[in-house]
Amino acid sequence: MSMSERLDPFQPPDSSSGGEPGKLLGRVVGGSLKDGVDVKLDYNSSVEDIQVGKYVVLEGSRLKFFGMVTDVRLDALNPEMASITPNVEDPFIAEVVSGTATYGTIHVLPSLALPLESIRGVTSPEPVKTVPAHFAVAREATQEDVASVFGEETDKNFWVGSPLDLEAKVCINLEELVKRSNGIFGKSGTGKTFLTRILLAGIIQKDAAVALVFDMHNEHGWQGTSEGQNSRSVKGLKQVLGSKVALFTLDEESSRKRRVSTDYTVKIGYNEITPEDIRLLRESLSITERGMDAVEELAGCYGDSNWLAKTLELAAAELQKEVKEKTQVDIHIGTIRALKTSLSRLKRFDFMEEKAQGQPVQRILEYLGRGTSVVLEFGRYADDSAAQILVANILSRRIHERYVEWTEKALGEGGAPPHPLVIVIEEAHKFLNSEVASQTIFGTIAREMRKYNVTLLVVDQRPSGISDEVMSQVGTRLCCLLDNDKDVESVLTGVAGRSELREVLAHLDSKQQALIFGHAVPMPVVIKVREYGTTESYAQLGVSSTSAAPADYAGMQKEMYGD
Amino acid sequence: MNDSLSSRAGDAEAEVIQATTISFTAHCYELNGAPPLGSLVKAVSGSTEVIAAVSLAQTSSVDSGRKPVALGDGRQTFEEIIHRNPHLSQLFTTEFQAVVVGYKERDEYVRRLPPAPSPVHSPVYRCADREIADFTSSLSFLDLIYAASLPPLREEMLAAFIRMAGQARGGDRNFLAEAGRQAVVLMRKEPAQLWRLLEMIRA
Ligand SMILES: Nc1ncnc2c1ncn2[C@@H]1O[C@H](COP(=O)(O)OP(=O)(O)OP(=O)(O)O)[C@@H](O)[C@H]1O
Ligand SMILES: [Mg+2]
Repeated sequence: MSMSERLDPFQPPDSSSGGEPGKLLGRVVGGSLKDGVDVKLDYNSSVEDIQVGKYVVLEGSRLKFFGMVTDVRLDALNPEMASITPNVEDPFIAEVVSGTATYGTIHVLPSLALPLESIRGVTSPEPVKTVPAHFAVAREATQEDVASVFGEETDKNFWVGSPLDLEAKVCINLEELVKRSNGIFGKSGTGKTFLTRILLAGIIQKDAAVALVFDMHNEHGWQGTSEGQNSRSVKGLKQVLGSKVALFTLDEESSRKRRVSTDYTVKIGYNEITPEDIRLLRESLSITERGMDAVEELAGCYGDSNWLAKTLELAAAELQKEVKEKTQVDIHIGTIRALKTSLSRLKRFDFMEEKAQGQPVQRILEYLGRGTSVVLEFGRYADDSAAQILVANILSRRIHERYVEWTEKALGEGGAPPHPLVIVIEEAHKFLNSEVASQTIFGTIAREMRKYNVTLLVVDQRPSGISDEVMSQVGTRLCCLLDNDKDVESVLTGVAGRSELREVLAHLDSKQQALIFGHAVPMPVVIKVREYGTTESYAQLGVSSTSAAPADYAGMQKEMYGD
Repeated sequence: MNDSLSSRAGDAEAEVIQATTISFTAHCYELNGAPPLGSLVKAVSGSTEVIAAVSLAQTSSVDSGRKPVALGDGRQTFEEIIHRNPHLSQLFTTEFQAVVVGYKERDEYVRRLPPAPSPVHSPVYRCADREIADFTSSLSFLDLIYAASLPPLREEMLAAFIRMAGQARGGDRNFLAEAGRQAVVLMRKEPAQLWRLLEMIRA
């Protein structure tokens, strides 16, 4: 035992049950359950070594608490000590003074507690109902601590990253994750797309669900890019997961140009567009409220599957006449003309055809039914909101209908319910802002939670644009750096310890770090997202050829398509 | 410094002539022979040793009514003056005060005030390096020195003590740092004096 240890009146009891305890950081000196506790740093720990978001444990006399550093502060034993500056140029004086006369205080928000005796037993940590007593020891967490909270990597538990400054695996329970809709947020360039790709690879690899990815920017399916000094390409899901992923495209030409071989080209027929779809496009097609009324009348007159073709085909006067004959409603001719102009803009979409030849929904369902996830590339429509809203809505609505039928049938007749489906949408505020959330299928899916085994994975850089109601349904949130106050507020709505987490969120690294909280993780945690793009990462995230689809796929296929 | 562990009567340097619970005054056998400021001494009686740190030394006339006068004319050294006035050692005495910091009983050091002061005429010895190292293996008594010494002597006294103990421990830097930390806590209300103390003990 060295001199300083022997002389340290605060030397902690040797708590060597379990593995090596983590490095001593300091002791609890105050706080509350509501606001978290203050830990006075020991003279061996410097504030400069501790970042907001760090994962720490607090050892009380009976409970071990798990928490996160949410603030770091400088304090002095006596305020005058800081103003009458000692000779800190001298290394000895600097050493003596730091941690005693002047010291760091970290603020820790404890989330979980575990009785000390049963740490190695079966008991799992429970949400905190109290705080550690005065002078409880604060330590750096160890791998064992992280595992006791987030579990080991298993066939359900997926490693997403590691806590700050610690070589340990933070895992997410994918089964729990896909029971609700989830969100990945962060400002531009913070790593949302990479995190989405990692999470999807996990979900697909471990068969927690099948995914339908609306790949607006053509970066998930075949190949994505990694920006930075030497930008390079990274593998997409198809390249990593092979036959577990099918590539669909909306723009064959673009896919061909990028030398991406696709499994299917999606075409949408006029007959598949309903008045609801048009309502979502109102803004992008600049249709007035009167115009929308006219759409309803036209649909009433010609039927949901014919109205659009007719409207585009017939002259305004003719339409007016036929509607009047059938429904006795007199639409203003000017309104019809304007509407025709607006709707004719749909013709510029090459993926539209008068009458759908193929059956994209059917094909997607076939793949999903086989346990194969589907990535739909948007090709040249990467920046076309109208195309994205239209296609995503039409396909999702139909697919959701089938899942509802299937689930209800399973409930009624006692068959197997469908394997969970995760629908991925980027720039989600376009689909889920408060004006349209109540009308889109996505709003419905978010609200239903897991009722029909369909959930969303929404990816957005402007979460404040998503309706509060939808946001409140988002089970697990993975947030990269956000610096807009409104966005920060919106991702933290309804979350305990909001003001503390706000600090954490505002101080994440600008890349590859995320604060995760919500349903699928036992407590909020900041992670460095695992690396994506190395050969090793592809090997870890890929599938071995032996892994088979879960049994219920077979059943599902049978149910849906017959033998 | 005396390096023997045993405490033989012949080694004593002084004798207790006045004692309170918190300090004692000892009369040195030799004129100007007080142990250095801050050094650790023990007053022995029976099997009890009262441990104390030297806080103040004073040499003065035996007869308090008689005022000493200058004996040289500016050309003599100190040694010459003493040599020419051999009777001086009869006229003056050297005494020192020591702040009690603990005691030793049944071979155990106790770092708080003893139940009773040292009896008058207990011989006083300097502590050996090994005793100092043992006694200072915990610094929980530092506040006794702080409480019993007054400014402006306080930081000087503490610094002298810490340096002495550090030397006895072979210049252990960790010890000095830990003592410094304890001083920080004791002197938190007087930062300027505290910084001065740290300058004095810095390794
Ligand atoms: N997990 C990771 N592994 C390796 N590199 C990463 C990771 N996360 C982020 N990066 C790096 O950060 C860059 C930006 O990440 P990404 O493209 O995912 O950001 P984004 O949030 O989707 O941005 P945007 O909002 O512009 O789409 C990547 O190109 C890559 O270089
Ligand atoms: Mg992106």
